[in-house]
Amino acid sequence: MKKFLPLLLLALLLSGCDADANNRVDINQDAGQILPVSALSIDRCAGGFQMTVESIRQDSLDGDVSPGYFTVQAADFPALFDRADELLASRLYLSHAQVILVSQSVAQNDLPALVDSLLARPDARLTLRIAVAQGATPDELLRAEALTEGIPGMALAALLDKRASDGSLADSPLFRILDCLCSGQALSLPVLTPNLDGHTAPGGSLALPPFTGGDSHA
Amino acid sequence: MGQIKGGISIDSLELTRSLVGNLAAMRALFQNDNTFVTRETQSPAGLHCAVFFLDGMVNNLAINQSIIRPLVCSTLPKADADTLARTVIQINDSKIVPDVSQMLSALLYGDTVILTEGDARPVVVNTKGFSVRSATEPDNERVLRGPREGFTEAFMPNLALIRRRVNDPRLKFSFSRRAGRTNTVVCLCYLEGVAPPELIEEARRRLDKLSLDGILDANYLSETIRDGRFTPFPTLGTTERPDVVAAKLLEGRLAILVDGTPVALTAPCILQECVQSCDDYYLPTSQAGLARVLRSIGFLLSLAVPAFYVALLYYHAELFPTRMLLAIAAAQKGVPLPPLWEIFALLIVFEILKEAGTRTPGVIGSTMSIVGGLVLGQSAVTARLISAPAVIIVAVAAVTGLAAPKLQAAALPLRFLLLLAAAFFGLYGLVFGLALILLHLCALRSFGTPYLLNLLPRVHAHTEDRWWRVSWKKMHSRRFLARKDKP
Repeated sequence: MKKFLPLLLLALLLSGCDADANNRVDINQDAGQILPVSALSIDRCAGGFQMTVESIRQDSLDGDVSPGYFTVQAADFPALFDRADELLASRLYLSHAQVILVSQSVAQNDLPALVDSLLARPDARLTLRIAVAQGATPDELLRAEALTEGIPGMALAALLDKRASDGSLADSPLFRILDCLCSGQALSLPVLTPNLDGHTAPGGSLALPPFTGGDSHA
Repeated sequence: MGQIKGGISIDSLELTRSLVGNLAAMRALFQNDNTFVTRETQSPAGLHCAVFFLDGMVNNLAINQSIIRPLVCSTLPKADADTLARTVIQINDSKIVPDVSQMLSALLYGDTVILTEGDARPVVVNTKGFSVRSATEPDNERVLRGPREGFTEAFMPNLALIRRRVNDPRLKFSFSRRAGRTNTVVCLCYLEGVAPPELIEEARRRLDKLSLDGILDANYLSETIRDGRFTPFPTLGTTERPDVVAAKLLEGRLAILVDGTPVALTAPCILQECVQSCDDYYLPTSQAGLARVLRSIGFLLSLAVPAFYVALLYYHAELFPTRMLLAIAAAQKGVPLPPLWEIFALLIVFEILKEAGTRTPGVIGSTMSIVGGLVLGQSAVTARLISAPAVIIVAVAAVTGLAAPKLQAAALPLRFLLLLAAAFFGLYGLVFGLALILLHLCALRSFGTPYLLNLLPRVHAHTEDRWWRVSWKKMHSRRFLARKDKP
């Protein structure tokens, strides 16, 4: 015991568990001080990019879960996330986000930059799927009423998951996109479109050519 | 025994051949003690004796019929102590005790002392007869199936309960008197040839080093002779069941019984015992084995659940399913305390409720548990003083902690320590805390036996009784803790 205790304490210190101020947690916080995000949509706009955040909230234990939306604009992706963070009293929390809807132009031109900015956030999961909106803006598709879920973003995630497992849509989690970007391979993203009733429906896959300069994303 | 009573020192008491002088000395010694009874007898033939005993400690019928009557009816004109013990007194256990301090110890313990004219040596007769309660099943060690007897505060009947189960001449009861004021009988009990001699020697050595002035319960001894003075884990087993003591003796352990308490100590004690129950051995293997595994899981849950919850909430909220996180956040809205302090306060309130429930008489205790646990908890959640998830977490920790009652005392401080570690360092702190506990357990020993005996792959004895108890058929003659059976 006496032999191992200093080693354990040393391991605790060397691991730097308390060294980074960003990792420190206020022990007086509660779960209400983080804002879980279920989905994002990103499109180009005049000033650069526009991002719509779909957050989810529940007011009481026996109450329903309801979505909330807000939109921010910025010149680049990191600034988009910073702007979103600035708007909120609570912390923007991407860990529970499952889908990012992007416009075709963002998918074709800005995918590496988007992936980079997501990887820079410690709360973004590598299983986050990226899908392309066609026939409507990503914002419109994200806000479209879902048939099976109260939260459209969660309905989209379930739809993409189901279609990816049966092979009718491309499977595009962030780790796979990252692989393709790093190895300079072509990649496919699932496409979502509005149907006649205005609900979001699968619309095939969008093949993207290999991005140049893929090694820089490794 | 250096106490002074009525102007005569116990140490300086000397008996002479004069019965009148001895009577005066004894009366002076027990002056102001109304339980001290002196009965002078004079037979028609001239035999003059004095009988001394303490009222309430003796069997009056035995004294009247087997001591007083033979003395009064004796045809001997004179008799020395030998004659009295051999031919007059009609009780199976009578002896001459020349040592005055031994005579006084026996008198104080319910024996009767007889002095005769012309002989300074007292005859001590076993007439113990104080009231004892019946050997009912101990409340805290109930079984679904199996014997229902439990120890009582009466010493010799307790030993008889063990002897009745282990009918072996190698079963030894070694008595000694400890603690100057209470002069308590302590019995070291072991099975010769099964218990390792070094274990018995070690126990004797520790008992000899006792320097207490009184022993009123087994815990007085336990705290003095146990290993690991600062460990929260029990390093001496305790039981109120004679069948458990018998089983442990058969495993090569020893037991220490203290007069006046129904609790027997057993040594060595290993962690495995703390998650065992009598039912493990009285129920079918599959049922018993599963219950033992569940108790172990229960103990771990009771330690780690509050800490795990706080660590996830503060540092790893991504590990919560989305809807669960939302529900927790919703429950915490409007609650004044942050989760750490909420859990902390609830754990303390629970311990206070438990303590109050333990000290309160039965019916009121259960009423208080309902009011405290259910009504107060529900009202506090409704009033948003605490959140429902915190109540659930503390309730889970409390209920699972009851699965291993022998480890409850250990779980209490460790639960708080792990909670703090998790609050400040997240899952890393929790794992670090658990590693520290494991290291501590690895270093802990009970009477020279590793505390994790039979639980780790390379630290095991000749037994098939480990995480899982094999059937009795396979465990026969291989279940001893310290050495193989030598019949």
